[in-house]
Amino acid sequence: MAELRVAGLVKRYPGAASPAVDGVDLTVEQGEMLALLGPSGCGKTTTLRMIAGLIEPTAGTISVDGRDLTRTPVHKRGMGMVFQSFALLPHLTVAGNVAFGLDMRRLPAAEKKKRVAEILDRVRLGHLAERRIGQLSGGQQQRVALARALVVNPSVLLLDEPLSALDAQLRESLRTEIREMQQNAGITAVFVTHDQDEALSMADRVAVMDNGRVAQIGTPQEIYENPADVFVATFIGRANLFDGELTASGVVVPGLGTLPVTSDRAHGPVTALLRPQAVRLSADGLPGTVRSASYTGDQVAYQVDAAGHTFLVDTVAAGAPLTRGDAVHLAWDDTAVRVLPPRDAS
Amino acid sequence: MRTSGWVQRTVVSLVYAFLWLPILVVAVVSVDTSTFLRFPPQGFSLEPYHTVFTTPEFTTGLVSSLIIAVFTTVVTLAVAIGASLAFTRHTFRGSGTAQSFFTSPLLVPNIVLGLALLLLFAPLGLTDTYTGLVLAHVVLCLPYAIRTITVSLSTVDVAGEDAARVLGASPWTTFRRVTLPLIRPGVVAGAVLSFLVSFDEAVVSLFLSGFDITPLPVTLLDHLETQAGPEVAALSMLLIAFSLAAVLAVERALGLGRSLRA
Repeated sequence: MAELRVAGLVKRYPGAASPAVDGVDLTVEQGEMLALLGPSGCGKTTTLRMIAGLIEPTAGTISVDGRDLTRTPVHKRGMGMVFQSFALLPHLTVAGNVAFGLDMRRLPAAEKKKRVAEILDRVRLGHLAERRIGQLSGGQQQRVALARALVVNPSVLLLDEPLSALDAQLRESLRTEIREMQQNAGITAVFVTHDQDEALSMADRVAVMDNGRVAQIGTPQEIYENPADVFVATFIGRANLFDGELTASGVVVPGLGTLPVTSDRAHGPVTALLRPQAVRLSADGLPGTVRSASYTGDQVAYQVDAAGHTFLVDTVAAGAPLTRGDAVHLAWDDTAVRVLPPRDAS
Repeated sequence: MRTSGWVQRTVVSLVYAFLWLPILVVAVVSVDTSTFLRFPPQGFSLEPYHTVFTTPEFTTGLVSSLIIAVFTTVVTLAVAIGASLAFTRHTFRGSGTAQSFFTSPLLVPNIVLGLALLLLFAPLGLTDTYTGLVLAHVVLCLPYAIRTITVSLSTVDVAGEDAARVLGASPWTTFRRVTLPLIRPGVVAGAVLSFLVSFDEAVVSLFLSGFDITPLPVTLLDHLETQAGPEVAALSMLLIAFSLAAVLAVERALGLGRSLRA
């Protein structure tokens, strides 16, 4: 039930060439779920662990509801955390694990029992309360971990790749479950993941991290439709990228001609982005040849050679898909083209 | 295949015979009727066992050994747990050196160690005291205890401790409620080994005891020099039985084999 604010957070490990986290600023509103998304080694987990208090930051501040927690030891921060490895205590039962945080808060036995039972019912594990952790499946274990983190009514819920250790089908259902519980509890949450689908589908806002910095922060739609740079554009979804020159009439791309778009960027080298869904196969337009087609039931993803470039084209499957060597024409709306800083600079 | 299985069984049997026959000899001798050690025995009597319990040097030796072993075990565990935590959870300058330092007593002959400790303890007035003997035994036991505990610690998922801390457990509570229960097999194995090593230790003790305190193994040696009768064999059998009982009790409680491997 709180607003989390992270300002100028830096973590520099002795002997490391560059900081693991290099000036991260984040604000997570009350009840909001923010995803920290990025490739491994981008600093997202380090950032999360600094918020939890498990790693001491080199510089910067962490505060909840205006209260500075930067120097508060981990066990006094009142947060909840869910780990990739579940991190359950194998010597305790399911109920024992869930009650751990309540024990630490010295709750009366009756109250404790009631809250443990309640939360276990909410994660549909009430019937397994007396089981040993080793007797549970991965999905059940992670639900126990979620219950254990939520039962203490944490100010902030931190999730460190909570679904990575589970198989694909389970991931889908737990995604919904975690999201529902977070929204029902109205709890502020930070969620670390390297899986873009997970980030886009679960989070209210996504912070894409690269090399210890936040490359872009925004709603999933903003991030997808208006990526700040080539890194974000390629990390989230697939992209057609064209290196060119921004002029008054648009982006001049060698071989392709001029893409008539306007941008308030400075004239000079830029990279133009065109999402594969924005490209259509049409009766006329840019002539090209199908290089490959990948049929996935509801969609066909084509690679089309045209004007010296290879276009990714996603189309809704209708009739027999085209095959290699077929002649096609490509078309797109100029408004779908985004102008990004040139590739090398990012 | 069949032949090699047969050969293997024979070899294993011979090895066991080699290990157990001497003990069998001692067992047989321990019920002899004579007043000196001989083999084969020429009678049967439980008198040697009675002698063990009615000889004051043996009973006081036993009490001294038990006191030393208990304190040695407690001190060893405290130091070994601390040191193991430091070695497995932190890398600090000289941690490798420190680790080999703690295990080095294994490489030094006990007789050298005994002499060294005598030279060190004499000016400090620690010879022939419980403090001195316990300290010396701790040095001997630490390598075993550190070994079993670090092995246990390295199998514990640190995330469990992190989870406990985030849930509000102070460092001490985390240790007591999470780490300690998880490394229990290693701690128990370390305790059993320490107790047995201390209880059994004669060489170093020989240098550091003699008048006020004489641990049982030293008593046994002294006794052998002057009047080696079947009661010595009887005492040996009792010591074997005692050690075996200790090991079996732990094995029963949580599986020593598992503890040592864990």
